[in-house]
Amino acid sequence: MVFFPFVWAFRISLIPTYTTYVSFFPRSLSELSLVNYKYLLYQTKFPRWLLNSLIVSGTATFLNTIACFMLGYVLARKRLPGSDWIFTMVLALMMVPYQITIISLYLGLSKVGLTNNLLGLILPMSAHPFGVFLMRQYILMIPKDYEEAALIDGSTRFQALFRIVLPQTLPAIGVLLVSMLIETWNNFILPLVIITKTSLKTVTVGVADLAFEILNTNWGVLMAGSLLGALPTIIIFVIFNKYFLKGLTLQGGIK
Amino acid sequence: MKRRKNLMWYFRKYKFDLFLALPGILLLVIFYVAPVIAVFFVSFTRWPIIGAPKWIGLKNYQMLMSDRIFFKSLLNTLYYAALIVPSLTIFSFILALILRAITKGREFFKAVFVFPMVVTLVSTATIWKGLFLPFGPINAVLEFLGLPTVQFLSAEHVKNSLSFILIWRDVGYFSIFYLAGFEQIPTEIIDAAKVDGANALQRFTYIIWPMMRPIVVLVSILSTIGSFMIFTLVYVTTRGGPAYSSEALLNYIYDVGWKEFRMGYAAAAAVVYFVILFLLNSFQRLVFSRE
Repeated sequence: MVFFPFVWAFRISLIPTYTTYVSFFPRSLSELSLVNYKYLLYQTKFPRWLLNSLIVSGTATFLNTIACFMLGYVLARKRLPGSDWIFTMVLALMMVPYQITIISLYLGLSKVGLTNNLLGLILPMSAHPFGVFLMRQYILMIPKDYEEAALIDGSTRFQALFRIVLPQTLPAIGVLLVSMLIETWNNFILPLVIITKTSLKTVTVGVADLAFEILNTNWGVLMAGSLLGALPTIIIFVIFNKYFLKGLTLQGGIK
Repeated sequence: MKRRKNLMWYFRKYKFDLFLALPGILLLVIFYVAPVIAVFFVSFTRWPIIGAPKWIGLKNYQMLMSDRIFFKSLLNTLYYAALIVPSLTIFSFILALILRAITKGREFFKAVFVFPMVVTLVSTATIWKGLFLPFGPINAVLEFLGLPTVQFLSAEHVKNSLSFILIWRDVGYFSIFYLAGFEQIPTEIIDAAKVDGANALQRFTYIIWPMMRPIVVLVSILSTIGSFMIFTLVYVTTRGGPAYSSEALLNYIYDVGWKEFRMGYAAAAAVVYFVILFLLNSFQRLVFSRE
């Protein structure tokens, strides 16, 4: 039940015709062909979309993790007056469906010329309330003593943070990296409204376009695109699913 | 004079912490807080994408009141939620109970059931669109079993079909939340109850259910938010058709904003969307936390 749709899609992607009405099991291996994948890679902008998605989700996840780690640390240690107040804001933001922001985001980004620009995708995805929440909660559990000892031994605050606190936060950072990579890769509505130029689209929007582009849908190509477009997150999940599940558990356990 | 000195003193004292906190705070304020506040202002204007916005007060909301397609999409969204939220809340609970009973390789099965959630919804939707074709594989199976075939994406069935896809996709995801809750129940309590002769039903109603209730609230709230975000699924499979029968609120907002270029009107619809979702979530909290 879980895998059937994907296996079926894989089967269809190997048939060099437009039809979906085929027997599930191929009669012979010679019936199968990679022509749809070739078409996707050479006749469409698909490779470019993949690259755009990689750039966007890679950069956004990276920036997001740094920003969340630093802010989470300040909030956990209550280094600034009003830290708890800021944390309350973060909690409130976690409850706001972010789709509500797309209209003003779009208007604002087009005012500063960031529509049809990958930066206009990266920046809005670079801060995530859940990330701040996760980092703060995790750093709360790390004893202060190590950093304080390092400070007494003459290291700077910067060193204490990145040499002492950061290594101890790595499990939570892993959780954040994996969940954010998957989330930014799968984001659809933001790239849909921010990007209209074909060569700048991300893979999710590109595949959605393929589904409506050709009047007589070429299902083989479409299925090939769906699978290839999802492949990076699938690979990340297969390798790092422990981190992803941990993130879910934390979300469910703490709230 | 004294005040300025104070500010400088604060700045020196907190220089490093400000440096750490500012990127995160700025990003959150610019890309979350400000857009949420701004959408309320935009909803009071007429704002064609090209050209200046014009303040028109509550006019957008008045127009919404007599907009039949808006109400259609609002009702559709509520229909999606009414189907998806109870199904997900219940089925993922059951799935979690099953997963809990699995002692060997539970981590593996967890990963398997979460898997659909990880696949880009665009891909999932595209694939299901193929599965749901009039002469697609599901109908082929129905035919093979001697059952009548179904037009899954017709006006009559499309909402149920799309809801099914979302339920299929998210049930494993939410079962992980429940599992996390189960793991917080100390096994000693359950063992003690067993020793005292409590049967499975009693153990469930008196121990498991009360301890799980916060998570039931969480799952029902998150799945409500999820069902309100059915946008991508609708956009990829039907674009709201046939004849607006599957159009969800977010799809309507998108159409008004980016097809008709009426940003102010779209913002008003978005505010209504937000308010309804907020009310629903508050209601869910209230009902479940009442004792």
